[in-house]
Amino acid sequence: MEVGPTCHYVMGGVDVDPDTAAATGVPGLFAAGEVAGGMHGSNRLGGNSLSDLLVFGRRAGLHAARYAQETAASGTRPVPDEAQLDLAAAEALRPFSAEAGEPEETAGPAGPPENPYTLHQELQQSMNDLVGIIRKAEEMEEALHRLAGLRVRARRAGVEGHRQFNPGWHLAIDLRNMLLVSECVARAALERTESRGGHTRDDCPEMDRAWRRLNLVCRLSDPSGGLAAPDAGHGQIRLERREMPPIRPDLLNLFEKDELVKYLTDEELTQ
Amino acid sequence: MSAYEAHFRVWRGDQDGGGLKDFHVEVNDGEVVLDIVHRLQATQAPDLAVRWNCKAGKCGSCSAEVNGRPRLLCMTRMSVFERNETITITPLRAFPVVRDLVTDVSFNYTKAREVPSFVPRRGSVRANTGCGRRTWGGRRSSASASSASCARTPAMWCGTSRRTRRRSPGRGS
Repeated sequence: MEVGPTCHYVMGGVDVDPDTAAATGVPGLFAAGEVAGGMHGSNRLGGNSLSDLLVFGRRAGLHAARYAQETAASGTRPVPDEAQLDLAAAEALRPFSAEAGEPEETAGPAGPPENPYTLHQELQQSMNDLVGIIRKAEEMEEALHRLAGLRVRARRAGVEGHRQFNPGWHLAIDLRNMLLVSECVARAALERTESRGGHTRDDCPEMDRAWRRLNLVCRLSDPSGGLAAPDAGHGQIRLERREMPPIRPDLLNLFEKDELVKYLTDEELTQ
Repeated sequence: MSAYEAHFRVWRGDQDGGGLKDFHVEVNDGEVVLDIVHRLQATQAPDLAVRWNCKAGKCGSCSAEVNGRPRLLCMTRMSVFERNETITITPLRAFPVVRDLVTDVSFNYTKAREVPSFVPRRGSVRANTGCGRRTWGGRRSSASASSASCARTPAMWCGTSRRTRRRSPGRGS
């Protein structure tokens, strides 16, 4: 039996509206549970993931149903762009042609087909070693460098067999998203120069009150070309700082002021 | 103990037929059969179909037959086999094959849907802490008269006690 510290829960996730569970910027996408971000602040309390599922799972289902009903009734349901669908289908099927040795349609770097399992294992190892439980800037920079290399290689991920229940193919498809999420985690953790909740930095061990009101939001830097961006060496995301809404006064009043000094910014305390 | 190479025979195919294929795979200390199947996937058979989820013996996804007996791949330790033993993995015979070790278990879901879901009794103060708690040990609630059979039913068996209550006559609503 192997025993060791590991990643257990991710506080970050899909940016959602807390009341409707609707994802920001993606009409018709609703998210609840660990996949949604922002619900638990910097560290989830034990037992709260189940309450999260019950409360926000209900909201997500309710509003997804409402959304489907309303857009159907009014004829305003967004229609996916055919060109984007074709692009997505081609991207999904590419691992099969990589195996057959067909020339790539884009000017991607040439090389032998890559084993998706090997790439997955290297990605896991890099993230575990460099963006793990206790982090520091140089290690996360090194991780971003490795991610760039893995992204280039993942473009050549090849699989055998056909489309029916093919785990190698599933992994090849998943790799794209794993690499994207890994980059989001590494970039945001590098940007946040403090330690808070589940985020611990050896080079910034203290909690910094100035960071409390800030969320870091990752977006694809090129949403249109995100599926098959030919220049895979560059980072794929844009990082933004977003200020959180102030804490409601009635909630603030529940705490002793001395207790809040540790957490709140000076402006908040003087208000 | 050290790493060694084990001889596996794994059934590969689909509903139209298939057969056992031979593999030699590395085995390390403390590993279970599912670890070996994953290594097999990663190094020799990337499209080998196997379903798995919890790796902890809870979900049942990785059910297959090991040497002809139904087993959970994640709970079958490699240490129970001799090093020179050939280990044969085949899909469960109880379900139709989809591909390789994956079977169509939709029957389980049909059955699961037939089990009535637990609904807390109307007006039950402690409905969120377990069903029928108030009636345990002969204590009767003033809000609703429970049947005697329910009072004898242990609190944990939600489905049973609910069904009992539903059938029992003279229940207050």
